[in-house]
Amino acid sequence: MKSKIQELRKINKISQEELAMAVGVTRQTITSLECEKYTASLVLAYKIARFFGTTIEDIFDFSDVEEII
Amino acid sequence: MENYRKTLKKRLLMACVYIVLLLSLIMAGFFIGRKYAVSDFIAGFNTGVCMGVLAVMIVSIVKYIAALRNDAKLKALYIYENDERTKSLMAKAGGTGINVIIGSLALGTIVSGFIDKTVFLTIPSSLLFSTFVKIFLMAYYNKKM
Repeated sequence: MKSKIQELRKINKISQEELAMAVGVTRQTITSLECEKYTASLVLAYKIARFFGTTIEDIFDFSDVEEII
Repeated sequence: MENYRKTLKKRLLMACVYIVLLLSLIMAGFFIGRKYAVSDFIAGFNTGVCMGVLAVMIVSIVKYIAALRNDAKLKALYIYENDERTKSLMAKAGGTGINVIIGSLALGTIVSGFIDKTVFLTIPSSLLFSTFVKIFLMAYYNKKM
């Protein structure tokens, strides 16, 4: 799933490690999310959104899911 | 994090119990097992397995003590153990893994029929056991989720 995590990280000057520690996952998980290899759970998506002070829909692109529905 | 700290303390206690049990097994194997074991190789193999598990327990104890004494290490260990991608990876590998094992055992059953009767009876037993474990776990998680 496409996301704006990398973009938001760069804007806020936060490393993958810092984001990972803040949301309680490993750095590899953040890398996988940014590379679209892994889809975050609802809880992780919520934590990331809250960390950046935005909503889940603003970070994650649900257009693929909408197409299926 | 306090709950995780308590979990680690419980694990430490369990690791100590395991160490005592393993040391008893190693001693029993050394003094009694050699007399009754089918061969020296089997007695040595069993002692080796116990020594291996003992080493894992000691490493775990060192890791847990270090984590309990340092908050940063405690958080790092918590994240390492609870990372959702790692959990998903383990679940996928486990699910596929048991299917590969069942398939290989089924193939092994056919091949062993041409080699030895004892092996021919042993492999299907393992196949039945693996299949039973898979069915049991599927039923268990079906009720749980």
